[in-house]
Amino acid sequence: MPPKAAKAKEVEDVQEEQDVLQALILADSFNERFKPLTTGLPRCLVPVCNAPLLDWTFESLALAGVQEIFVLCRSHTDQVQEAIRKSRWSQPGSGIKIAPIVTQDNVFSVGAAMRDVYAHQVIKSDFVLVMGDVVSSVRIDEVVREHKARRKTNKDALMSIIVKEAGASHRTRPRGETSVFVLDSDTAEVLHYEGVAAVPETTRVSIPREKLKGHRNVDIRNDLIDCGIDVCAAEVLSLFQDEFDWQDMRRHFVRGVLTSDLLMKNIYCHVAREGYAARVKDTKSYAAISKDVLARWAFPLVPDGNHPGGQHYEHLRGHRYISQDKQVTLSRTCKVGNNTLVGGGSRIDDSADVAASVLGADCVVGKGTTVRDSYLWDGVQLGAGCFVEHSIIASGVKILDGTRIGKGCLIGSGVVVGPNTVINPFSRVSSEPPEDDDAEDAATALGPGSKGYLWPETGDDDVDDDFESEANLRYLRIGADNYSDEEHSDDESTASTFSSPASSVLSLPESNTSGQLSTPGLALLGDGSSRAVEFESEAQLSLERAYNEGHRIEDAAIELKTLRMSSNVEQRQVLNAVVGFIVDKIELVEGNVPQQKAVINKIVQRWGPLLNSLGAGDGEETVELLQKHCSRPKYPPLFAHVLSAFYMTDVVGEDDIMAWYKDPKSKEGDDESKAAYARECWKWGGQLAQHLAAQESDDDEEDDDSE
Amino acid sequence: MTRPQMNFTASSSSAAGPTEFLAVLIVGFGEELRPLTSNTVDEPSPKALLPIANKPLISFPLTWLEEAGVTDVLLLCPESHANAISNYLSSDASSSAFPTLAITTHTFPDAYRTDPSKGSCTVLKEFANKITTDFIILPCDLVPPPSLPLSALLDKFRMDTDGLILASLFHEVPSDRASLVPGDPLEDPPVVLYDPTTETLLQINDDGSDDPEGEVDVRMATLWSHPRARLTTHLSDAHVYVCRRAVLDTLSAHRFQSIRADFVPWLVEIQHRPQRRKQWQHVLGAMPRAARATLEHSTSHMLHARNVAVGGGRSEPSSRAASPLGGGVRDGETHDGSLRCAIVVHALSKGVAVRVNNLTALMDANRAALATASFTPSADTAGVDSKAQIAATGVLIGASTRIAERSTVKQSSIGAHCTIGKNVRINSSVIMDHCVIKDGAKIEGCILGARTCVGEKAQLTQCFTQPGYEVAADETLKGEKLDRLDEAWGGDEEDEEDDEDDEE
Repeated sequence: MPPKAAKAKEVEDVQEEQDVLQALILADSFNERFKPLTTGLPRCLVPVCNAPLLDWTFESLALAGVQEIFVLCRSHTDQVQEAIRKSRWSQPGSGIKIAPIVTQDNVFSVGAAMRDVYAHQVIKSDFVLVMGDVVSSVRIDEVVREHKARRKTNKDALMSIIVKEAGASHRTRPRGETSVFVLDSDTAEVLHYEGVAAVPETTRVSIPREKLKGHRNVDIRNDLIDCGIDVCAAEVLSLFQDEFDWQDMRRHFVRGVLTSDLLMKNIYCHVAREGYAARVKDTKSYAAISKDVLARWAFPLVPDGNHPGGQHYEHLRGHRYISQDKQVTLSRTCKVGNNTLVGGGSRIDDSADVAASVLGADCVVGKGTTVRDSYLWDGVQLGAGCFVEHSIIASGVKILDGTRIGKGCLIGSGVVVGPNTVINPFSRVSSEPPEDDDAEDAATALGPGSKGYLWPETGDDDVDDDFESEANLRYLRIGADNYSDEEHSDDESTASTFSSPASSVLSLPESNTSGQLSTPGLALLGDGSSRAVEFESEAQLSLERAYNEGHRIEDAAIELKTLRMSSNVEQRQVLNAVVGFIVDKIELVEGNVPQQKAVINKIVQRWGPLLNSLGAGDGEETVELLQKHCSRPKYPPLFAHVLSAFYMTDVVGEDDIMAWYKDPKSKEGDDESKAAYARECWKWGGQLAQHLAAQESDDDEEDDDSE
Repeated sequence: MTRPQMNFTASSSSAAGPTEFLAVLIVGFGEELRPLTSNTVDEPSPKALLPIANKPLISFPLTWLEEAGVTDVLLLCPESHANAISNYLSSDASSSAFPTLAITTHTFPDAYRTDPSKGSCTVLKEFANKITTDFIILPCDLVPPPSLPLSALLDKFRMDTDGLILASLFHEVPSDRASLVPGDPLEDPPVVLYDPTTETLLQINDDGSDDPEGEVDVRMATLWSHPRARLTTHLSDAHVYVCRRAVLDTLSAHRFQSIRADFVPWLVEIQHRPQRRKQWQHVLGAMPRAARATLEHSTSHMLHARNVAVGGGRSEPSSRAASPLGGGVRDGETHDGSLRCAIVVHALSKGVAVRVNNLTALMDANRAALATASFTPSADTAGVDSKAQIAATGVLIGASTRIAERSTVKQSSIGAHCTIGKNVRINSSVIMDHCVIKDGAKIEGCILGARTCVGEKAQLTQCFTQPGYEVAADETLKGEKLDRLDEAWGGDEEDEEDDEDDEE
C-alpha cells in the first residue's frame, strides 16, 4: 500500500474516532396505553421508581458513551424541555449535549417522526435510535463498535437491533406484544421478523424458503426481549423519507427492508447476554420493570446507588428502599414488605401493609390499608381501611376510607375516589371527562365523595393496528395474567356475561366488609355457603333472562355451567336452581286440573330438557329437589303433575321415581317445618309410582333401560 | 427364513435379560439406484449387496449394530432378494463377520416395487406383530463413519426420562455437493426445525423442496415451548429411528406410506398439537416403568430441569428467580410424557455419514472408502499381470480377478472374478463382480453392474450399467444409464433400443 493512501486512511480512522456518537430518543409512545395517566403528563416523564422515564433513558445512553442526544417530543413539549433542563445529564460538565426536537402535533407514528428528524438534518453519521421508554444497562458502545466494523466491510448493513436474551414467557415480554426473530446462527443477520400479538392470536410464523438460501443454520428466537435500541446508519432516516407508509419501526421498517427486492440491505441483531434492557411499553411492562429495578436485576440501575432522579435511598434487607432525602414516617405497627420503595416525606400509618410497591414522595397510607404490587406516584393519599392491588395511581390522587381498588386500575392525577367504594378491576379513572363523554355517573361508580370520571369499557375495535386493539391491549395491562391458561375467563368476561354488580366483589378480604358491603349475597372469599347464595342469585338472574328472552336450551345450559365453574358449587346446586325455577314459573290454576296440566306440560316441555343438558344429573336427586320445591302450600298436588311431566319428557326415569319413593327419607323431606307438605308430595308421588309399576308389568323389560 | 445358529456369546448375553432393542433392518428395492438394481431376467440385483469398497452395503449397518451390542435383527427384504441376501449372510465369510447377530429374515412381495401406495410403513405395519420391544428402524444403505457409533443414539434414547417416543439421527451434508450423474440433480435435504438445547426434533418440512418460493410455517405453539429453535437445510435424515414399541400402535392413524417422509414427520408433531396429543396420549404416554421409578427417586427432577431450560431462559437471571412466570409449564405436559422426539445431530466435521440412496452417494461412498485402501499383490490377486499398472493406493481388486498387461487402474475398486484385457484404462470407477472388460476399453467415473461386458475399445464416461449389460465394441458413451429393459431411465431412449437389438 502506498504510504500516502495509508496516511489518508489513518486520518479517516482518526476522524471516525472523533465522530461524536449521536443518539435520537423518540420520546413519544404514539399510542394511548397509559391513558388516563398520561393526560397531563408526557409518557416519557412517567415516573419509574420515582424517577422520570426519560432520566432512565439518559442514564442508559450515558453508560454507552453517547455524546449528543436529540429528544424528539410531541405532546407536553414544555414539560419535556423542562425535564431536560433539570436532568443532571444536561448540566455543564456532564459531557453530554441534549437538545429537544419539537415536532408538529400531526406526527402520529414513529415513521412520521423519523421523517421529521430527517427534515431537521441533525443526524450526521451512524446513530443510536432509542425509544423514549428504555431502561437499560446494556453496553451500547460495544454494539456501536460492532456496527461500525461491520459497515466497513458491508455497506449494506443498515442497522443493529439490540435484543436481550431471556425466556419465552419472561415478564418483560408481555403476551400481547412480543416478537419472533429469525436470525442466521453465525452472523446474527435478521432474516425474518414477526410481531406476535395475543389477539388475534398469532398462530404461526411463515418463513419464506428463499430466505434460508445461503444460511446453513437459522435460529428462530422467541426468547428475545426487543430493547428498542437500534444502532442505525444515517441512511435509515432517508429510507423512511422514501417509504411514506412505513409507520412502525419493527413491523414496517424492519419487515419492509427484509422483504424488499430492491433495497438489498441487511439488518443485524446484537443478542446481549449481559446487562439489562427492557421497554416501558405498557402498564404491564411498567410494573415488570419497576419490579426488576427494585429486585436489582437492572444493576447498576438501582434506586440506592445511581438513582437517575438524583434521589437517595437506603437499601434495607429484602430490597426495601427508604428515602433518605426527606423524613419517612413509618408507624410502629405498619408492615413494609419486600421489594418496596418508599419516597421521601411519605407516611405509613398503623397496621398498614405495603408490599412489592412503589410509593412516591409525600404519599400517605392510612390505617389498616393494604397496598400490593401497586405504584403510587407523588402525593397520593390513601385513607384508612383501603385495599389497592396491581394498580397505578397518579400523583395527587385521594382514595377515601374503606375503598377497594381492584387489580389493573389506572387512576389519573387529581382524582378523588370513595369512601367505601369498590372500583372494578381494570377500571380507568380520570379527573377530566373522557373524550367520548358517555362516562358513568361519578357518584355511583366512584363513591359519594368522589371527583372524577370512570372511563367506559371501549368495546369498539376500529383501530387499524391489531396491536392497539382493545382485545390485545387487555394483555398489556398491569395486573393482567401473562401466560396462564385462565386468562380467557378473567373477572371481566364473567362480569359482562352476567351483568351483576356482585360478581366483581367476590374476593373481598374480611377486614373490608364494612359499610355498604354487608349486603346479603356479597360473599367473603372462600366461604362456601355464601358462595352458594351468590350462585343462587346469579343463576336466578340468568334463568330469568333465558326465560324472558327465549334463549335456546343449549345457551342457557352453557351459561349455567360457566356460572357453576366460576362459583365452584356442586352440580346439585345447579339442578336445584333449575327445578326451583321451573316450579316458580308454573302458574297456579285452581280447580281446573286439565288446564293446570296443560300449563305444567308447556313449561316442562320447554325447560325440562335444560335439566338433561346440564348433564350428569341424577334423576332421583331431581325428584327429591322437586319435592323440596313443592313442599309449600297449594303445591303438593302439582307435584304429581310436574313429576309425570318430567317423566314424559324423559327428565327422570321410572327407576328414579321408584328409588325416590322407596327411600325412607323422601317421606319426610329434610325440613321439619315443611314435613307435612313433603309427606303430601310423597303421597302424590307414590300414586304415580304405583301407576308406573302397574304399567311396567305390561311393558317390555327394555323400557327400564331407556333412561 | 431360519434363524442362523446362535453361538455362545449371543445366547449368554440374551440370557442376562430380555432384549432391549430389536433392530428392524428394512431393505428397499433401490429404485434410485437403477440401473444397478434393475432386475435381470434370471437374477435379481439386490440393493443390499451393492459393493462399497468390495463389501456389500448391508454389512455396514450390520457391523454398526454389532458394535453397539444389539443382538436381534429383523431383516425385512423383498421376496426376490431374500435368497441372495441370506446366501451372503450364511456364506462362510460373513458368519464370521457377524457372529453375535441373530438375524431373522422376513420378506414382502416384489409387487410393492410398482405399487405407489405400498411403502416402508406398509412393511413395518405388516411385521409389527414380530416386534415386541423398543426397536431401531434402520436402512440397509447407511454407511456411518467410525466417529458415529449407534450407541450415541441409543444412549440418547435410554437416558431420556420425560416420555421420549423416538430418537432420530440426522447428519450434516456438505453444502458443495454436486451430482455425479448427469440429469439427476441431488435431492435437497428437508427443512428441519429442532431445539439444539434440549435436542428435540420439532418439525420436518419435506414437501416444499419443489417450491422454492414457498414458506416454512412454524407454529407459535412450538415456539412457546421451544423459544430457541433452529431451522436448518443442511441436515439429512439418516433414517435411523429408535422408537418405543407403542409407536407401532399409531401406524393405524393414517395411511402412511413412507416412514421417513410421512410417518416420522407426523409423529414429531404430536408433541405440539393438543388434539393429536390428546388422541394418542394413552397410546404413547405411558412412560416405561424403569424411567418412572428412576424419576421418583431423583431429587432433581429431570422434568423440572427441562422446563427451566425451556422457558426460564439461560443467562437471564431474573426469569429464573424473580419471575414467577419463568416456567414453560403451559400445557401441563409434566404430568404426561412429553411425547417428544429427540434428535442426534452428527456434524460434518466429525466424519461424513452417507446414505447410499442414489448413484452419486454410491460413488462418493466408494471413493471415500477407497481413499484409505491400498493394493498389495497377494495370492488372491495372482491374476493381475505384473505389467499392469495398478496405483499403490486407492485401488481394491477382488479375488481371482485377472488383469492383463499394460492396463491401468486408478482410484477404483474391481470386484471378484473379473476379466480385464490389455490396455484397459480404469479410473475412478466401481467394477462389480464377474465383469468382462475387453482390450483397449476406457472406463472413467463409471459404475458397472455385475457381469457387465464391455467390448473392445469401448469408451465409457460417467455411465452406469445394469447387471449383465453388454456394451458393444468401439462404442463411446457418456453420462448414460444403460439398462436393458425397454424403459427410459433419463438417458437417450434410442440408444438403448439399439443396444437391446444388439443384445438379442
